[in-house]
Amino acid sequence: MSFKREGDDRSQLNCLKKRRVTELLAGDIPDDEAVLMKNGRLACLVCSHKPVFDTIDMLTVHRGGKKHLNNQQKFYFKKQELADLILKRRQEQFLSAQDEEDPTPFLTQTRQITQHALLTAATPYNPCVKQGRKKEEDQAKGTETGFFQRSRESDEESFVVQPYKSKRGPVAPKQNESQNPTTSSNTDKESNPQHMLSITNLPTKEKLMKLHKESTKPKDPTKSWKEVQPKGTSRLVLQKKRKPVTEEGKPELSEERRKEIAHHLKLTSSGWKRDRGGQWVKDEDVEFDSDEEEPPPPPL
Amino acid sequence: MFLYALTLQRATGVTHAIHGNFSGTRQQEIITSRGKILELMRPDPNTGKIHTLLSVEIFGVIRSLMSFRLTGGTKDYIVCGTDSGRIVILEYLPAKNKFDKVHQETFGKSGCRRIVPGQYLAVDPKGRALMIGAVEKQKLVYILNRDAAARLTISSPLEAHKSNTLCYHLVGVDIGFENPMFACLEIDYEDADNDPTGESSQSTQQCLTFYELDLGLNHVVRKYSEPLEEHGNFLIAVPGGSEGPSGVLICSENYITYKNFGDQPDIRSPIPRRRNDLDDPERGMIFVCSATHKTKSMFFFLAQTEQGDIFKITLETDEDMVTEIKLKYFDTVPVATSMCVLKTGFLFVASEFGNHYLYQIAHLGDDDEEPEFSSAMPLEEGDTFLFTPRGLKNLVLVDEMDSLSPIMSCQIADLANEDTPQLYVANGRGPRSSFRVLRHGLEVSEMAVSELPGNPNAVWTVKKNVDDEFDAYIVVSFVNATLVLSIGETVEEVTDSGFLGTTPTLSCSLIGEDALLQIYPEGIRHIRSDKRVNEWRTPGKKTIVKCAVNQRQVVIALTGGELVYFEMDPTGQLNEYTERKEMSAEVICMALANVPVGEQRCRFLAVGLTDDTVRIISLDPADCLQPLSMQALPATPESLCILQMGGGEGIDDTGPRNTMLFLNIGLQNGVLLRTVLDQITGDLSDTRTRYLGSRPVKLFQVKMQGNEAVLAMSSRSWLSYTYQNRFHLTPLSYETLEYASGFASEQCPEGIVAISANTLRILALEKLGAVFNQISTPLMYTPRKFVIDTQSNNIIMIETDHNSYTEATKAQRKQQMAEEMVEAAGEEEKELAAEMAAAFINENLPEATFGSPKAGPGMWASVIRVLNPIQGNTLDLIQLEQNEAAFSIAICKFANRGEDTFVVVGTAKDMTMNPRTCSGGFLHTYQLVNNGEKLELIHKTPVEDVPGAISSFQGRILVGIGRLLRIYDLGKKKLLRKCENKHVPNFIMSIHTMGHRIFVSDVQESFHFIRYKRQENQLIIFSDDTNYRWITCSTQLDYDTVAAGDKFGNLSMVRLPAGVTDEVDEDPTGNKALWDRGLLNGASQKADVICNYHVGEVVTSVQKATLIPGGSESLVYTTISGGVGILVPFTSHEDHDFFQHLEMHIRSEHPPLCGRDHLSFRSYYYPVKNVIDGDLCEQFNSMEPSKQKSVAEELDRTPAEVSKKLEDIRTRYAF
Repeated sequence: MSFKREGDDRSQLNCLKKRRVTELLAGDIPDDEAVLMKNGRLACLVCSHKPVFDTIDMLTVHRGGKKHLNNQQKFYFKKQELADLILKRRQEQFLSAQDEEDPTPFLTQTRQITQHALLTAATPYNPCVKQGRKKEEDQAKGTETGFFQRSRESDEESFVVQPYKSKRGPVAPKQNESQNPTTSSNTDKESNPQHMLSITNLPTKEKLMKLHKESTKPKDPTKSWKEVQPKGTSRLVLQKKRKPVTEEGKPELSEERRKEIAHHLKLTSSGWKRDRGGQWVKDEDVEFDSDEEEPPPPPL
Repeated sequence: MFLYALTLQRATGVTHAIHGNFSGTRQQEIITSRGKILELMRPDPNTGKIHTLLSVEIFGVIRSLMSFRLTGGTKDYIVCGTDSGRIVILEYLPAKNKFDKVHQETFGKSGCRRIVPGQYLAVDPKGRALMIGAVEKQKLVYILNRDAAARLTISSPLEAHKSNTLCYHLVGVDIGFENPMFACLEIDYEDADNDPTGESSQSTQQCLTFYELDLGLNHVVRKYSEPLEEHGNFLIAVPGGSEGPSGVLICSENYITYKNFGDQPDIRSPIPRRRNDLDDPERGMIFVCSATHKTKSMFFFLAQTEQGDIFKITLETDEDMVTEIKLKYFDTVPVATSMCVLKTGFLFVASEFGNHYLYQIAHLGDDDEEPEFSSAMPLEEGDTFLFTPRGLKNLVLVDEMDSLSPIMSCQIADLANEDTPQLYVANGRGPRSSFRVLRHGLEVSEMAVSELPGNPNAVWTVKKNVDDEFDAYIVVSFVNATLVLSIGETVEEVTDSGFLGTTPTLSCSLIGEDALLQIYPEGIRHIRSDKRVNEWRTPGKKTIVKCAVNQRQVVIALTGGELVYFEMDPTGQLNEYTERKEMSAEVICMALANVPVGEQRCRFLAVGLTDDTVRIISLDPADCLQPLSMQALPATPESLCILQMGGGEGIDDTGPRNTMLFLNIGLQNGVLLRTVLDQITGDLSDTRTRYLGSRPVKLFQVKMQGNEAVLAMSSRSWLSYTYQNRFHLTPLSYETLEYASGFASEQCPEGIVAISANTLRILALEKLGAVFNQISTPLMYTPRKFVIDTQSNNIIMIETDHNSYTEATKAQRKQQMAEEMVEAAGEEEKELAAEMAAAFINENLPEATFGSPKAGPGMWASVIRVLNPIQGNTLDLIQLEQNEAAFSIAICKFANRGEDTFVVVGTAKDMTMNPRTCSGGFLHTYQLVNNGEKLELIHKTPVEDVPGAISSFQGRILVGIGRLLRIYDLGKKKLLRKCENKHVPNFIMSIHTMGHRIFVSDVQESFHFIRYKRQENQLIIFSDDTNYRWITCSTQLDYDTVAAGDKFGNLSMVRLPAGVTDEVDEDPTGNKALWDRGLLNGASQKADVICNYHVGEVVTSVQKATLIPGGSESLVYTTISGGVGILVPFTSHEDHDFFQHLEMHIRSEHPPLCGRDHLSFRSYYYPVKNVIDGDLCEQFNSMEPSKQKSVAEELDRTPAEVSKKLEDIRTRYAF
């Protein structure tokens, strides 16, 4: 069955056109700015009061509003601030690392480089699951599922975020972890690639891409190659290529990270929560053994 | 996805049983209804075995079943009340072995409705009229008569409606040849309905109403109605006319009452009760079924109480006035849905649950010491007679029919390490429940096994005369000798048979009328009945390599491929044909068919050669030894067998009909080919292939139930036979055999003698047609669920019964009653009473027959059992406390306890059924120790509601507690609740998990798809189903798809569409909108229904499994009536297209027998979707040949191709 339009009323046609355009543009809402809820509605994450909308259309209308635009400015300002902060910390860390007497400065350097090169493969989340998702996404592409598509893109974003955290791995594995709540909260999100979309802390996609390219291009020869490759097939070949480069650094690193993440998830799933101070506290809805006062220490 | 539904085993539970002479001969037959199946069975009066002659699926619900016979007729007709809104009268045609629909009259809407007749049927005992009634209001009377050609006619319906009236039972009163009369138990609820105070509903009384059909005026009148004191549950018509006093017996709670017209006063007698019964003494007792036996001189009734005790009821009369009802305890058998007393002295008991029985009535209980209770004995109101139950005295068990009904749970696995998986089935109810292992194959009963000196090569049985019923000799051939055994009382060696004992034998048989023939490598020995011996010796250095023999012909193959043909002349002399035939290659095997009745010879010889061909050679005198046709084979042939098969059960004097010649070819690679051999031209066509096993296939011709059959032996033995118009190729559940031959003796009229290594075995195959053979282990209470421990292959099962005592309480109650007994006794009787009390305590009647004591509602008993499924022995048994009922079980490992295996059992305390309440529940955590043989209690965790489902999930467990879904982790003193979701609407029935995804089925509202978020420690429902489904069982098919069976008998598959994401969040604002909170909206994303199919019986288990080695996966389901079926996916579009068209044509060409429209039956609750009914398609084989042809033509195929396709799709997935 098809609906044929009768008559040639311009305004109606224009309305439809406009609606169509908004629909098409709706898919471009960055995923850190809105979230799909389990009842099928959408919440705007930019505005501080997190308004809820029934449809994407409504969300788009809201996004055009003055209030939202105001909020958006603040939102990105905050984001930028955070990114700057991270950059700053990284710089400090880098300097302090330099200050420390490193017995094998070259080895550390090489490790860092390889770590950079390896980032995609070093994603600790189970690759099997990811593949499954990809398939789903491919199927979903036909229908209007903007959120899905974005989740893929965000994978790449997270690709950029990761170096900052993981670099610290070989240098100062544990102390930093407990001191800095932001990093550890980042690490646990990492286990779940989908999750990263809501917490990626970087300004805009374009910027990200640029930043990402700058940071990786000189160091990672495989990256440009990867961009040429179709996504589905690249993984295996990539790993093969990298193997010789990574042999010493990668396994112990990712192992450790995996352990940390597993530990974090174990704590959250067994009912421990972080309070504002980043301390582990018991969730009052969850039961614990009577002698279980402290969260179990991370495995060594 | 498109599926093809097939039934592997039809329902085994019986809902109605009637008896009569349906085939018109003097033999009595039984017709049972099994829900949607009508089955005709014939007890063999000589052996006492029941044989099923015909079983037809009617694609409708049989709600009532009656037989009647027109006055002066000899043949009984069958009337069916179904959900089709039609009355159907069937006649059994023995010649065609099918039911013929004589009449089909529409009277109402289809479906099981309140006011559409079909629920009750009553027939005038003289066969002049029948009444069909609805639960409410409507009753229709049809007059039955004959037309000029003596065919049965049926009138248009006469109405006997009365609105606002509920009917409880209907029976045709026997009043001889006066106007037909029907008695009915009714309640008029009009007053009660209109009275808002509810007072009149208390005083509403049940009435016994008589309806009279006035044959002269051709209308029905409500003749007489009388209120009853007790609420009756059913009526028994008393023989009338010249044979008895007429009237009815009303069975009601605690009493049985006789009523009739006129001056007859009511005669009332209490129903006797068991002495020292553990049951609640306040509980009423009712009769649940009855059977009437009537001869010219006497009649009696057998009525069974709900405890299973049968009473023989007789009436004392004084000039047509009944003066007394006499009841006498007869025997106790399992509680039945129907009983039939046959004229041959058998009692057929169709059990309510579990196996059905056939008893022989050895005594009528007339002259024993059992006390007889009479209505004339004075008793106080509320007092009753007491009797002592005992073992069988008047009945002798002669046959038992396996019934799986009700199947409570089933799992398919290969725990016995055979290559074919077994079905593990927990079935039955209460003390009659059992755990059964089902294996595909025929059950073999071993009659004798004896060792032989050395390893034999071959075995034959030989009769002395064609007309002999039994075999005379067993001949066993060794490498260099032949042993002859004679069959008599015992089997012993003889030397006077005339057979040559010093040589190996190639073949031994009876030839002609009474001569014997032995073929050995050097020649042929022909032994005449007067012991004259003719010998034919091979020429020169040649020896006989192979031979083929039938009643009149002998063909031998000499080394080098030379064929020599002998035929018997009328004088009984064997004559060699003038020519010999040189074959192009060495002969490997040969076969001759039996000589057809009334002919001189068999016209075809089949020869298998080393060049991988089989040739058909003519033996007709016109073109003797000329090749007729040839078939190239994929491998070297090993054995051949030509035989006549097909036709059907209905073999009468005219001999078997519609039979065809089949050439069976066993190949050396283990494949059996079955080819049709044209009876005129000798052409070979329509080859069917089946892989039997790893060894070369040897074929032997045997007789099964009077029909020819082939025994095929590879690494497993198979029997190829026809049964109920269908070819069956079924493996024998027995060890590998090497050589076999038919066997008939007095002890074993139809057996097989076979050799295996150095033993000679005599075997019998009795349960032909059965798909599974069963090994049964009795259980204590109704099994609910079981799990398999994959490490030890043991089974852990929970058994729970409502309304029953635990062993401990029972012993305590008994002790208490014994003490009371002693206390109540007087001073001088004390000793006697103590003795009686001791006897009472020690008395142990098997509960499987006598039933367990009823403890009252809200009383539960439960055990947890560890069982070795192969040996059937219980390794550990944990009895729960009284009123603690186990409902769910799971086997799991906890992340914080490494490799230890735990069993978690969910129990409910003091549960009531309706409404479902309980005083609390528990999760018992056991550790499996001793290699999975023992359960060790770790701790008990209290919960608020009934734990209905448990599942292992990411190193923890998911538990459905009422409607709450929770994650528990193992703690030190109890299980620790870690996470909870409260949004499942009613009650969680089952939980399946895959990755982070959880599939939860609700008792009423179908599936909920849940995602566990570790990060937030939340369970979020991200999708659900749009339909209501009262799910009973479910299974997960893949990451997005689940299948479920529901309590209305539907199977459905539900899939998440491609766009569904499980990445949804809870509302971030925290202040949920009011309209957002309700459960009405459900999840925002909905699953799609991909398949719907109405099975017609409550589905109790469903799972994905491979049933045959090398086969593909299918969805296997079991039903409460004991049926097992599969749904298989189509692999190609062509197949689907073909079967869809076939189904469509059969729907119109061969509509269901009882008038229910097939499509609407399969769409009873949801429109059937994407499933093709294989059971209907397979009815193609039982259609008339002309119709088969027309349907096949529509599909551009031949009927043989169609039936081959039907067979192919079945054997690809199952059996």
